[in-house]
Amino acid sequence: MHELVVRARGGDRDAFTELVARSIGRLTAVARMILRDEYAAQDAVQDACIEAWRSLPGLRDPEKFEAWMRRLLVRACFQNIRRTKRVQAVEIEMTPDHEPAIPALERHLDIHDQLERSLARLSADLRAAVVLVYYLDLPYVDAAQAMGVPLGTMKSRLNRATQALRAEIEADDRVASRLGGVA
Amino acid sequence: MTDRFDAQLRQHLLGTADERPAEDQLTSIVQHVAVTTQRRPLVARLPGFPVRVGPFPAAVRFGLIAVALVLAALAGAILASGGPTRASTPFEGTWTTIDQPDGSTLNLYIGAGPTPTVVFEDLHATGAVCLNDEVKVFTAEGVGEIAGEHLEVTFPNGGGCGLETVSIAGVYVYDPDADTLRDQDGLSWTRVSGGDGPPPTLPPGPSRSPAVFEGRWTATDPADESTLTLVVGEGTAPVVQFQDNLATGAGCAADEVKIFRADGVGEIKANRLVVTYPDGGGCGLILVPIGGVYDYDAATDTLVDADGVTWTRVPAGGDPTPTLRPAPSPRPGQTSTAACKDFAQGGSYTAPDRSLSGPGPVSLTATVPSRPVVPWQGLRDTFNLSSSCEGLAAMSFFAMTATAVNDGGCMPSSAEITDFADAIARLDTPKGNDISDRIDLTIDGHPAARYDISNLSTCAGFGLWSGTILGAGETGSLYVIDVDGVLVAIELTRDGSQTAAELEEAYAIIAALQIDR
Repeated sequence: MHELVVRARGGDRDAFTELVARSIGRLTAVARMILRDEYAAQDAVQDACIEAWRSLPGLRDPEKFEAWMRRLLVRACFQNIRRTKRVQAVEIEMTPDHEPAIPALERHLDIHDQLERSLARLSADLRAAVVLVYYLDLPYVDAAQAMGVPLGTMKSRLNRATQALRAEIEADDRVASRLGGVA
Repeated sequence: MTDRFDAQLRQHLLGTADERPAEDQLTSIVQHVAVTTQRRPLVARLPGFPVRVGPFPAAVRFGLIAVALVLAALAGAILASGGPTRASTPFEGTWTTIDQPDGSTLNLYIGAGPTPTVVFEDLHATGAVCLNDEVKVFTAEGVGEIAGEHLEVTFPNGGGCGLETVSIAGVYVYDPDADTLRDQDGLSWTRVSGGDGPPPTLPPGPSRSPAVFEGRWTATDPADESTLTLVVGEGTAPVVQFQDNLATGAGCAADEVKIFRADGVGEIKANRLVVTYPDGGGCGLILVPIGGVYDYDAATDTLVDADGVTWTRVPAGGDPTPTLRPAPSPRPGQTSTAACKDFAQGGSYTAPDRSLSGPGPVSLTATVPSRPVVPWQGLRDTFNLSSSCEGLAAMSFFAMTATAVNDGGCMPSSAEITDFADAIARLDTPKGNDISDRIDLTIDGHPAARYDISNLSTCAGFGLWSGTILGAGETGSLYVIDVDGVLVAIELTRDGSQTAAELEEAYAIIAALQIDR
């Protein structure tokens, strides 16, 4: 990795291609989770990679490449959201494919369905905090750096996100329980 | 730091992550890279215009633009003089280094003489002040004072990315053996080849008369086809009015008229007009923070804003002369931004709505003394007071209601907390030299406890919830307060560099919190 970064930093496009090939899967997964839109995620990954190529000569420590790349990706995701908001004020669709088209009384969602729905309802900045910490397993400090926010803000966002997720799931459970009782 | 819910969340994300790149995604990136040149550290990427300068790591950026002018001026001076001339001081010239936190390039342009003009820039700033800026070039302009091998630079207007600025300062020590500078953060600056030739000439004044901006401009909002109007007053700091005649943003959703208006003040530098709207803008009573940057294109007599929208000039006489409202008066001494409230002069800070979500409404108000040791800043969207809203603050504290305990590491299992006694029993359990004994307190009449943690090593995480929890290696304090049965957890996190006075001030502010329920 170190060698590839050094070569890419010096203008070697093949080395940069190899770097991107190694990380594009993980980067795309992160962008998909934050943006919840396939095309927006692809755009964000592409924007981040091109920005990485352009700015790579300024990266002094090759060991920081991955953290730097994460930050570029998170920034690209937020830029994508800002652009989208400007073009159209659209609620991101809540994974309609996963919406169970079944009678209300049978809507007892399992925990994964509940989490998926609840994650979709979070704002992108809260979802990004969740993805960085729970999916990438980053320490809080690294996650804060990736998002470009103070450590306390990162923790606050994570807390608000997990509180919101818990609350949504508990609410779903209460509804399911009530409906079950009626049945 | 994992309870059952955390584990389920992690498992869910790992189980549903789709790491398959889209078809041809890599190919598309490679094709783009093939036709994209790399940005060399000192090559300007924006059209030239005046700059600012600034010193230390998490701070500066604005202008590759400036770089362009500086380098152009430099080149011009070289050409005009027929070759490099001897520098008047060893500081004079162009210097560069890499920002330790994020690997970005920092440049410093130092003029001639014992009190040189100095321009600082960070070509890729990651601090909070630049979060909302597209260009993310932090710049600051200042004046230096050389004493022996020390250069101390003050930046009267601070530095920043476009609309937002922060206070900065810089001290640079010259090493004659290595011909390098070392700044207050320990960064070593190297001289840019050729930089010790002609004295770096600071960017010239506005290349365009500010009068070119004056008047009425119009554009069509690509988002909703509504008509945008910009009215610019006279001078280099003109009064500016912005209007959207049919705003569709969330801030205007509940408004019947849907005319979005904002009153601001502009700053013209070269071919750029930067507008700040101190009170934001909106439809009726709901105001949202906005800003504006407009570049003048002399060839077409148009403006292009930060979103790429082109504004055309409305011919004089087509409309009655606009009556501009008085310029909004910036509050003296305030450096508040859209994201932060400034308490460097003290003040009262109340938790924003819903930032302490949990069982029952709890509101916290912190009182910062009028002459604080720490220049506190508070986030607007969540209760979080810190020594700086920018990047990783040296010290900050925030609060949340808590109903569950971290059950990882050495914390007891069973996530749900029954009451205050249960909470402190859990927190009392971990023992180690890195965790103090419980310190019993009363905060605004409510029972409270504090634990001081130094470089946490006993546990992977110490605290309540996944938010108010100190992680391995972190230093700080954890509070839990019993607000009539509702538990409020406060985390004071710090990097360990605080003086006793700074730490005592933080403790005192927390101890004096006003709690309303």
